[in-house]
Amino acid sequence: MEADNLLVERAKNGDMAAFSELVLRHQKSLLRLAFRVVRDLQTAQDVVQESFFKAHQKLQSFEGRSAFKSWLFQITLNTAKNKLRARTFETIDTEKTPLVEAYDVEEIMMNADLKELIQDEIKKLPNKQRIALNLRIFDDLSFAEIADVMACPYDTAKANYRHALMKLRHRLSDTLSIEGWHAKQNKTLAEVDA
Amino acid sequence: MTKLEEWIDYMEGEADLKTMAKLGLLLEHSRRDREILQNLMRVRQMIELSDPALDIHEFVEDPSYMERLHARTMARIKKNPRPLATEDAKPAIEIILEPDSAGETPSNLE
Repeated sequence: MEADNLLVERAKNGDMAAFSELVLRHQKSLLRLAFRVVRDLQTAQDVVQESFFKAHQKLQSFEGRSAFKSWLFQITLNTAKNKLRARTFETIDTEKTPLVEAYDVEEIMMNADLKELIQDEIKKLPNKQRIALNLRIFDDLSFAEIADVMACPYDTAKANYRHALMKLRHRLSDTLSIEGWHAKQNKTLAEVDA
Repeated sequence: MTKLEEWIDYMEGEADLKTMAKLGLLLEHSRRDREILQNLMRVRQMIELSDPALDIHEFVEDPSYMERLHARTMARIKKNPRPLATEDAKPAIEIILEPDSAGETPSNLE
């Protein structure tokens, strides 16, 4: 498989097939990323299209100092956040919004209430910590890639992730016990930490 | 760095060799440390399973759906040719942390 940077160079020289390959390669990740922010499939699709469009328009400015994927993630995150802001002022036509059916495996593995609770706790995290956590756990990015996306030093990206995880661990401790995740131990996390 | 932070680095494959060796020994001999690591792994797994994007899994994994998205994206790009290189600019970055040569400091965190 041709490396992203080679495809980018070809695309910069006007090779549309090369850019098309980049779209194919990254559109799934971008759709998931956008959906996590806007929580609506139609809007997430719009974000993906717009992000690739912007990337193509600004391709000459991409110097390859970070990975192309990180650069795309950065554009998508910004586009999704802007869409979210704009959507606040729009009326959403629910008739046109496609229904999203629950994913079976997920349903089996996790109670919907618990999922919501965890997502609520994630939402409460400070912005930078939340982004670092999402990029690491949901998008499986390395800390170097996260640092690129967040435009911050490597250690800062890692520290934001660590802080997010420690907070969630602390806040979810009761829930973990209730859900039987700690069936074999009655200790609270605080006791374990002590 | 606290012990918990070390365990997070260990779990993420980010611990250095010295720390890996130290924690490896603890795993062998300390039940409490094993519990800490197991607990961290459970929390991470739970977060992973709470991913909102799992709700659109069937769309993302549907080749025809993704083909249509790809076609629409490329159609939009082809309809609007790229400006000349000189007109290009870097994308606006909203997520900006203060540069810190010292690396990790609490002041850099929210």
